Amino acid sequence: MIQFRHVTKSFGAVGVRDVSFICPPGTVTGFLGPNGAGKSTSLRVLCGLIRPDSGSATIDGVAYAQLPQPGRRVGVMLDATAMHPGRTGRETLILAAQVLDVGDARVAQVLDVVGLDRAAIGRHAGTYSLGMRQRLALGLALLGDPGVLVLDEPANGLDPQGIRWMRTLLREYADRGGTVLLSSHLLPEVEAIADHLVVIDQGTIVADATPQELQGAGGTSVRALDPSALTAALVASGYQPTEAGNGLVRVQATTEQVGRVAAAASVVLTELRPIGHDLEQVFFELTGHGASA
Amino acid sequence: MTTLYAADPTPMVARPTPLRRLTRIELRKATDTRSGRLLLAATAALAVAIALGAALAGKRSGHTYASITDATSTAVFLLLPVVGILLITAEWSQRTALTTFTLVPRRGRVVAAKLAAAVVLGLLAGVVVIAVAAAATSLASHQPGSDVWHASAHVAVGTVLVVILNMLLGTGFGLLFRNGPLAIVINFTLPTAWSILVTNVHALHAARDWVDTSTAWHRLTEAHLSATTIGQAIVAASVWVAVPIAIGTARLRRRSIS
Ligand SMILES: Nc1ncnc2c1ncn2[C@@H]1O[C@H](COP(=O)(O)OP(=O)(O)OP(=O)(O)O)[C@@H](O)[C@H]1O
Ligand SMILES: [Mg+2]
Repeated sequence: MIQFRHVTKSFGAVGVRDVSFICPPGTVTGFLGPNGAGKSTSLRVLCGLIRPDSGSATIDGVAYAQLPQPGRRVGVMLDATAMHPGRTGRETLILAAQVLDVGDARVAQVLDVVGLDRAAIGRHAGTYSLGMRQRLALGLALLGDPGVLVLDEPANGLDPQGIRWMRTLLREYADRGGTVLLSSHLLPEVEAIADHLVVIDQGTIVADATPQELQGAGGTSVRALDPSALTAALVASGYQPTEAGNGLVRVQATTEQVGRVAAAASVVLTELRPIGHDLEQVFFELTGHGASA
Repeated sequence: MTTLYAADPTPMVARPTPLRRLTRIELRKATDTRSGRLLLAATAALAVAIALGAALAGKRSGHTYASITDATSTAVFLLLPVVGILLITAEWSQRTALTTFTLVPRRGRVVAAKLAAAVVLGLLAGVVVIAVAAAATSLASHQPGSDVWHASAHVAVGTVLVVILNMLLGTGFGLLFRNGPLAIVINFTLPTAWSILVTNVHALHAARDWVDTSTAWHRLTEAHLSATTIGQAIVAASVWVAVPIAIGTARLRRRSIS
């Protein structure tokens, strides 16, 4: 399990502020935010590369830098372009394999998984396309057969087949009990695989929920045979519904919450749907870019 | 907080990478790129060229093993510290620091492995120098009856030591500046400028004896070692090698890596 606790790091005015969230085992957490929101900074704090001003980030309760052999526990991919251009792909993997004390068989296995062929890995990484670097970097992360994956923008530079391949890989990985934390500034990239979305904007977490909950974040639109009975029941449950005429009621709650209230009050519903069920729209609203979009 | 590993696919059994393996990896990194290999090959080629040149140039036969070793080692003093500098600074210029320090987050261990690799490279280069110089000495024409091999064991051991110290000097500048071009320029100019200053200003002669690397370290290759000359070499090494390495390492441990 990955846990961020009140992580704060300032670079002058910007940085990250009071970042707290958890990534449970067996799940894929999508860490979303626009450019400069603080995703990479948070992930670097987690991997011990940036010391936070305050707060802590841990893996199973232990700071990354305190893990005896972190690469066997946590697979990390922070920047696929940060590779020595004069080293071959194979040499890059072998160096890491030696640190991790895994054999050539594991190197071959990983190359197979990430789909880099023999000709490619014998070439200098400087000649690689972005997608190939991304595959090599993912291979580096997988080398130690870790139970936790931390990936910064892994889909960057992958073609549609590549993105689908990576989704399948990460989904299976999480289904086997692995913990995945991946960042992206594009919602559609993670929407399909994430069980959990954490949205960051200008250094602060603005949402931490399941995709379903986020979809309901725009509220629910509901129609009942007896609108006033429904309104009364919702008010009694602590919600603030508004009647929009024509028997339509809007309320800031999920469809499930409204359905439960209605069921408990034996109110017959004729329509129940989330408002703003377009997750992308929700994302834009959360990150304050809805007005300009 | 209690931690359950059972739910995870990989139990936390792995041990830290031993320093010896990290050192081997750093040595491999110094030689697995074309530029690294080229630099080492150029160092060796220049050493051979200088040794042969010193032995064969001119007809006069006043060569000794000491004088030829002295000439040969200049090639290594010139180029090898650059290898040491790049051992550190390439991590930043090629951005591999991100991977290196993610795999080994205890940064002091990475620095220790790099310094150990620098010592190994210095040792190997020093041995090449004394061997090449010995071969060149036997090729050179000698004055009959002169003791060409005078104090050769002293010369050999001292030279290897000084090559290692110069290698560490460069590596220390690399650590201090983490910028290849800057460290290389400082490495070539600062010790030399200091040496010229303390040699020519009479009031600074004490500084020359104690904190000038070219004077203090060179005495290690001479036949008459005393407690004072050893002390002077140690003081010079502390100022020029230990201090930059200590400051550079302390700063590296605190820095953000990105
Ligand atoms: N070393 C640094 N020095 C100064 N400012 C920094 C540094 N690193 C990050 N920042 C600033 O912190 C903020 C967060 O940056 P970060 O790289 O974490 O964003 P991000 O969410 O990863 O963005 P992107 O999607 O573009 O990768 C930005 O405003 C950035 O300019
Ligand atoms: Mg980023």
